[in-house]
Amino acid sequence: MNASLVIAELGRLLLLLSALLFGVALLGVWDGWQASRAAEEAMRLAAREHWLAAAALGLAAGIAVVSGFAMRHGVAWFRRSRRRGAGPLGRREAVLLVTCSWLVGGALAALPYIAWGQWGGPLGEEVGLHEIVPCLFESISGLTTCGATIVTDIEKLPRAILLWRSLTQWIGGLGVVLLFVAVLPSLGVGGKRLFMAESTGPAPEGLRPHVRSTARTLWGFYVALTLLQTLLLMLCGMSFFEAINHAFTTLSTGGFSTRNASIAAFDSVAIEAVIVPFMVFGGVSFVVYDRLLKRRFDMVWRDPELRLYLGLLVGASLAIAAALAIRDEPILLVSGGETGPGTFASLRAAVFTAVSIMTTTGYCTADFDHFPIPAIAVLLVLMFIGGCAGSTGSGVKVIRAWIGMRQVLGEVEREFRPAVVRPIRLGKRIVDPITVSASMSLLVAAMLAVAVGTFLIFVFEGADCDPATAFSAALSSMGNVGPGLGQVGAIESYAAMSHPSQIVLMVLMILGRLEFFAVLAIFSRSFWSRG
Amino acid sequence: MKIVICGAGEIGTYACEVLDRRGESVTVVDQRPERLRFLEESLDIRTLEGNCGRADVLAEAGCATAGLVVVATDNDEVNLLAGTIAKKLGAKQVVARVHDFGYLEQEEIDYAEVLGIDELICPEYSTAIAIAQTLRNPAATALESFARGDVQMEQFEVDPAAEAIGKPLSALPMPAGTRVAALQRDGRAFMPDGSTAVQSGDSVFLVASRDTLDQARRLFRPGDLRRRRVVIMGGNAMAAWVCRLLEGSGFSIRLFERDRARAERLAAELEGVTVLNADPIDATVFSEERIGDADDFVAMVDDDEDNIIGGVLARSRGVGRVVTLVQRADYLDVLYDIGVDRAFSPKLVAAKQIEELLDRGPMRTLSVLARGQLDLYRVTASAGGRAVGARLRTVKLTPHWSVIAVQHGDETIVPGAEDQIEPGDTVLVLGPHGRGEDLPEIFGAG
Repeated sequence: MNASLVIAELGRLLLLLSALLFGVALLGVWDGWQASRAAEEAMRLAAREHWLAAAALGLAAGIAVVSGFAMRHGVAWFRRSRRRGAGPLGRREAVLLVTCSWLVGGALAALPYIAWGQWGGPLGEEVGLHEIVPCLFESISGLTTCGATIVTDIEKLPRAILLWRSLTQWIGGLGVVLLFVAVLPSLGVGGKRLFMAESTGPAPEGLRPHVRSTARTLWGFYVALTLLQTLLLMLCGMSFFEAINHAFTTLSTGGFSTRNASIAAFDSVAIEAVIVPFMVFGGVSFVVYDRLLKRRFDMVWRDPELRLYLGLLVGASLAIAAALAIRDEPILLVSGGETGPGTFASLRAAVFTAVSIMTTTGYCTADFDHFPIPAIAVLLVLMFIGGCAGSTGSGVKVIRAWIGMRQVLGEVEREFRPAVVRPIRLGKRIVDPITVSASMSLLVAAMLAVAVGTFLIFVFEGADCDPATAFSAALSSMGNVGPGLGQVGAIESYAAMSHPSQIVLMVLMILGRLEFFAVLAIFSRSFWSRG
Repeated sequence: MKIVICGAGEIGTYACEVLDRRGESVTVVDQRPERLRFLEESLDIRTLEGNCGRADVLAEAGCATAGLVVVATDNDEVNLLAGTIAKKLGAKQVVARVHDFGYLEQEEIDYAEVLGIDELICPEYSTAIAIAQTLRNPAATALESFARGDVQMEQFEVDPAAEAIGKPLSALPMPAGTRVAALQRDGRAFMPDGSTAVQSGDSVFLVASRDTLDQARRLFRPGDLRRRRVVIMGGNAMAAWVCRLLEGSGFSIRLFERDRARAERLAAELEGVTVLNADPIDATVFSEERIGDADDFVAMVDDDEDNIIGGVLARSRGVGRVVTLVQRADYLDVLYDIGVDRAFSPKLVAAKQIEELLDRGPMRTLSVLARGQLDLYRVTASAGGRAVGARLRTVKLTPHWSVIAVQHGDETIVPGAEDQIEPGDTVLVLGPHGRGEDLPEIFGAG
């Protein structure tokens, strides 16, 4: 284990985050300055909150800069004193780095919330950011692109804090894509086989240019799509600030909104029509975009996971729409109003909800807690499945769900036909046994995590927690969706959860986001042993 | 003619026997003295011990003056090399046998052309084509295939419920590249023209390209829509080809292979085929898989006796039809009597292909059909024939002759009225038995 390498990389991450924090702090300063010059008395009072937000973000930026430089220079000094080179980033370092990135990033991203919550006095308490655990929850939920929130009144947050909240999801989404598509496959870690048809074996030196160019393509595409969505949302009547916030949390399939009523607050078909496709884009493997840019359209067209994913989205949307239409009752909205009944209202609510849940975004328009039971069952399945491997979406991934299903069906056939040899096919390819076993293990790990999580929440919450709440909270966190059912439903927040429960959910979010094994590996004894 | 055969394996030995019987002057080259001694004792041939890949050995065998060199060792690469050398030494015609069909189906490169070999033959693949054709048309009484299966001809009885009955042939929606070459009514065979109407009880000679055959046959045999159940015992390369050739034509195929690794490889290769790692002849497997209900049982393991016993057992337990693969031609005569419906031998196929090459004259009778009434002739067209260089529409061929296929260069087609025959084309013609002497007038003297 080359710990110095991991520390140096974490230092680089902190420096990067500090730059972003600093940028967001400037917004706080600007807002504060604007408000203090305003004519109305109320606005001038609000200026204090903006200044405080700027100060909180600035403090976090300062801490990040100092610790980032300390880590990098410390490592450099350590290497010089030991006369040691940097060495290559190996599998163990990569695995450790992945988990540490989210933990260190999560701690840093929570700092502005904590500082603002402490200084903000009554307002901090009012929105729920006055304690450390909820602040960490909010920041982990952001960086894992989960989207579960403990903020009870989002609209009272200063703009700078709101922007930082959205930005954490955007960074988290980008980070996941870069790691899982560009960096980790080149190191032979993670589920490369799942989405790399033309797999290039791990070669420490030869692959560098490839990783770098892939990463550059991906992040360029990510930025371009975000800007495009911002523009489209503005054309639909959103302000620039709200448009960019929602663009940050759509493509990253995060789901933080600037409104308490999420997307229902806008009550606009046009805005939903923009957000739905971008959520779908977020759930598509970024390898697909890489191929699109390389004009390998045939590969995209034949991509079996993409087909399954789109098929599931359409099927689930239609099923939910049918359930809503058949019930023929008004559909409750998160904003408190209602819509429908009718075919269009049902379809609109169904498509938005199905896409939002399956891509693990977690935006809400309709209050799906009050959907018919069959529709809720479909949503729970979608929560578990999630997006495609190599996307910003989470869950167990479409491809693993497919492999798991084929494996189960194969086992059923072997029950009465033990001699049959039926490999699992994915398009024209055969899924090799190692991938099948890895996928099955992940499915089991995911189910166990949800089961254990549900149990722990029951234990911590005691009598006032119903099964639907506990189960859906665990499932939604593992799948990085955000909202669940019951007390954590679409119109609720996670603020009512006790702190131990929130910690359990944070662990689930990180496990689900980093696909379990990379996180669990660092708890294994042999991971650390030199032998 | 002087003939050199390289490799005294199964095919080489059989070719020796056939060619020796024809009275050709045969030299066999092989590295195994005991094989050569055996051949020398039983046949009137010359033998030479040596490596076929070496030019000096081939020269000593007399390749420079040979009319035909057949290279058929167990090694494909040696065959290709020896074929090239033999041709360079001056052999008039060189045939190389390959086991790996990949050498024949490469799109990027034509191995035969690049290496200067006249013909590459793959008897296993030809056998697989024949088996697949048999499985495709259970009602056929005669099957012929040309140009590696690109064009096929079948004879079968018209279904009384068929769409085609009572309508003139010209009014039938026949797909392009298909035609009714001949009809047999009340035992008498004749060539139809556009106005001939097919009647119930007629037997049809249908010619079509591989892709359109099924579609055209449906006009005469709408058939049952049920998927035919095929059980294949043994997963060798031939079995895999049969599966691929049947792909997408409504068969439910179960392939039994006893070797686990081989079964896994086949399962990965063949989509839509159920591969089982078991022995279908095992009584438990047989009853659990209900193999007795299968329409066809194809036995194609590498052991003749296993194939025959397996086929006979399957037949006795109720399988509709049994097709077996046998290497030894000696068995062929008795197989039908003991319950095997059709038997195929790659060796026979190879010998037939080699024999055909010997008769590369302008005209040759390929087979006799319709109980001796019709002959299938192959002629090489040349200028001077009245059908050469004119559109077929303008040439009067009926009532005697029917052109079923024209090979122009590498392409073989079933000609339509607007197609024309060029000098140098190879033409397959169906005509009355024993009237081959009329052909030069139509297609040129060659």
